[in-house]
Amino acid sequence: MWIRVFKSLDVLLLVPLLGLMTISLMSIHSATVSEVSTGLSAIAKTQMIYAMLSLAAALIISRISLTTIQRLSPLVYVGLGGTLLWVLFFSPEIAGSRRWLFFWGYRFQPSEFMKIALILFLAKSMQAIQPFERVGLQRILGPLLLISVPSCLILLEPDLGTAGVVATIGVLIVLLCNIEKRLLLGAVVLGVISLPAAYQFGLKPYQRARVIAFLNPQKDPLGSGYNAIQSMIAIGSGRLAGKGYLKGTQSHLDFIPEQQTDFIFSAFAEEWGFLGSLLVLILYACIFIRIYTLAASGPNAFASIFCLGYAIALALQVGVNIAMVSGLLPIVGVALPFMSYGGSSLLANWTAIGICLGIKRQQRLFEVNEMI
Amino acid sequence: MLGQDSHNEYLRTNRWVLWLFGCLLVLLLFRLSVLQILKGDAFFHYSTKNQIRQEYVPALRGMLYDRHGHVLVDYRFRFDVVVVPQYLKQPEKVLKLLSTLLNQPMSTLKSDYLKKKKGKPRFQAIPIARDVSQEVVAQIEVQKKFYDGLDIQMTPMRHYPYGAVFSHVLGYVSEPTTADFRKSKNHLMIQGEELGRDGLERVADEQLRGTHGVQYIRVDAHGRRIEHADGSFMNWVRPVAATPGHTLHTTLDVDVQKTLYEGLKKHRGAGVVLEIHTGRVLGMVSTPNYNPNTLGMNWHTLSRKADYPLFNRVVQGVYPPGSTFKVFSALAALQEKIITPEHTITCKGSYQLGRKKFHCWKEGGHGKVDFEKAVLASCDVYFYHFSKVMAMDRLAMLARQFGMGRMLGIELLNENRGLIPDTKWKKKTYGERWQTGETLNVAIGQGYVSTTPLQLASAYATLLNGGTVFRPYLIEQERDVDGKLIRANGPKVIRRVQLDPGHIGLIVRGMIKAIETSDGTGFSYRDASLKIGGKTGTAQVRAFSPEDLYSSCESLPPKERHHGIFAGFWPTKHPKYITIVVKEHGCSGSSAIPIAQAVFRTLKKQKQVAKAEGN
Repeated sequence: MWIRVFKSLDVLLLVPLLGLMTISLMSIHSATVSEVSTGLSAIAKTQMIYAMLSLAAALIISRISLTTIQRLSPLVYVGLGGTLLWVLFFSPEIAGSRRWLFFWGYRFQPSEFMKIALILFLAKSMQAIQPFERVGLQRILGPLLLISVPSCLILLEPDLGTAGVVATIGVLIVLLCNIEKRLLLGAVVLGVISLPAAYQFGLKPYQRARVIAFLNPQKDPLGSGYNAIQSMIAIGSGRLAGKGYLKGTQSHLDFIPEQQTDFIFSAFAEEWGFLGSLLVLILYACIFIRIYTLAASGPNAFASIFCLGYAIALALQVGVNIAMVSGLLPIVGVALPFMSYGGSSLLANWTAIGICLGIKRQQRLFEVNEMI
Repeated sequence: MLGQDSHNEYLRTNRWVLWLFGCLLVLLLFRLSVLQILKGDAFFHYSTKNQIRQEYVPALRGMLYDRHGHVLVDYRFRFDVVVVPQYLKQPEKVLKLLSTLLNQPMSTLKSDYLKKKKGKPRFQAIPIARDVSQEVVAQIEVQKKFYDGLDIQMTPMRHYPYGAVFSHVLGYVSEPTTADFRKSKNHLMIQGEELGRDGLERVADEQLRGTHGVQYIRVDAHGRRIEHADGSFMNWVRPVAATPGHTLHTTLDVDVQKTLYEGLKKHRGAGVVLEIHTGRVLGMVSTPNYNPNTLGMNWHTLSRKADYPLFNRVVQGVYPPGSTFKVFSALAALQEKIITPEHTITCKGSYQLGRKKFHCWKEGGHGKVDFEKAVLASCDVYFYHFSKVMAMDRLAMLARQFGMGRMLGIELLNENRGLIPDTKWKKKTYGERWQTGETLNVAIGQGYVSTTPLQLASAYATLLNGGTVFRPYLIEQERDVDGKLIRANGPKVIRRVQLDPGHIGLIVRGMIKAIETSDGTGFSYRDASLKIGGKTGTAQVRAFSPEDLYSSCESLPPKERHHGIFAGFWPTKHPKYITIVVKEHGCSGSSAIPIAQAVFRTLKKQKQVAKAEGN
């Protein structure tokens, strides 16, 4: 049975992923290793356990039939929605926001899982819409509602970055439908008009400070702009070939904040230089292309929309994270998928990979059926 | 299959997803290549600068020696608690710890910190507590890794091994204030550096200060020093060693100074010892004084004390010279040929000038008085007699030639000019004509005349050396740290006064007899083993009516008692040293004699020791 399981796996998807996981563990170790102790750092060890658990989870999920997943998706969505509400009301406040669910001494970030649940539920609710069909407002009202509920809950935590990412992923997935042009135009105009109002009334002072710091990081180099500047210095100082593994001064001397989580790319790029950065981007591109092609060969519309949706989600998070650490975007808490330290993000992403692997497996089943 | 065909349409109609991804990829690659390749070197430079902290190394202040090579100042290491604003992340937490450790309220620490921080760069360590105990140092060293920005700084500190003995003449040092930082344009002042505030420390501050060095240390983002730094970062930086300040060899003599201090420390007053033939200052004491080791902390209390401990009475204090001035009046009278040495008068205790009666200090008078007796017994009436016919301007000119009434230019600040009055001065100041009676007062060192102890010492030295006015000086040599001579001061002649050796001999003989003969004013303090000469002076602090003029000085309130002044020289044969001692409200000049005697005894012993070693 195990041989069949492995044979059904998609090598083209797994190889770049495992490559990224290796890079991730190495970088987390480098970012958290202490000068005195030897061996793998404690945090890298923890992440290794998360990685193995996530991989196992992905393998299990890949065995679940698409129909079951499709049927379960509303339930998962509602369950996670409830968790977000719970977090909002009952979780302790950490650094000014309530994002974490505490569970047997472990903490989970439900918003990470919500991203995947949202993609699943959107895929389910949109699969009936034909791709060539012109879609008006009432057909996408349901999906938009599905997007707005978790986005608003996450916004209230408050976690502007994740809320924005979730909303953007959702909207991009809805855009996969052939939506009426004037509807799009109207939405764009409305967005542009409401943006200044949202900045003024929708943001908390610290969030506004971040936006200002982003627009002009030199203004207060030791305040809000400090992280952005130190991160840019770390990446830039890697130059072409990097400072060498374990030799990054910006990370080892603590100049990079949150270097094992949101800023793991800076720590990596400092030690491996532009060539390393290029490698990571190529690996992400491989994964993206692979999932994108899976969408083409998926067994049904649900599978295709899910694959496209997850590809979009992955690209968006990678893009936002790297843009953020390299000073192109304000510092918003978006993790780098498969690279950042953290169980929630890793498990959620591997869940999605598990589903993709399942799609691949079931597509082959279909092919086999066809041949017969 | 229909389902498959239709859902593949999603890809065909949604190529934009691929485009979007492509654009994102290009954007990121572009950004990364800008950061890592185009600006890579610049960012590498920043990352290097990030971890290297430039620190100034205060230069050691130059040393000070006495004339025999004894060390007058040295160093002591002090531990200060400092906070580096740049790395201070949790001020409240740090404040709380400091509050418990230093036993001070948080509000005081906070306001103090904020005040000190103002206008200084963020990387500069702000001292919170100076010179803390070993326990506090140990506590902070253990806990500082949990308190970003908190540190202990070790600073070499000027230390004065003789404490208060040399207070005014050497001065003291303290750290620059905000005002000093603002004022220093051409000299980069740094924290931990000490500035000379008084005495030689102040006057020779630039020579003593040296040039600070620059060192580099590797720090992490929290400003903590990386102890195990491999040193490779040293390739990028160029440390500069600090150059210690110049060494000053002074004219001072530890033994003389100590003796002088011992004699004066229980009184208010001043004492100065000069070498008659060079102008070298061997000792200079002003009391009450201060301990330069602790002055920095007590300055505000000291500066408000009623008896002015910060004031150097030797150069800043002016006193009526009293009878010590008589030798100059006598000299003027001889030079003006108003009197001859043989000229004799009879002193009946007072002298009538017009309607005013001028009293002699001795009730009942001295009887027959000639020149020599006038000097040794200090008979006032003798001086009244010839002063009536002496022009005040002639006396003033002579006094000024001897260096009184003007600054001598010693290497100390705020030297007082004193006052030698004349007719022009009276006209200018009061708009009135000079009265003959005023000349009588001046001739016995009362009235308008006032001098500093240093001027008196210099004037006596001039008289005793035959008429050369030397500039009194303290700095003999200035050498750099390697011992190379930078500047050598020698005796400097201000002017030569034409004097008749016969006149000098007369006066000197009178002064020796003042101590050695039973009629002399200082006879009661005579020491058979140490032959000295000198002139006592008792300066009245206020005018007295004839009734209480002769009442006991000790019965007066302390503030109204006369100042006692003694000008003594030794040896009697070829005088080498002059000592002036002023005891404020000490009632009589003779009471100051033992202090001068102690000084001469010290010098005599030195000479004997040197002689013994020579053999």
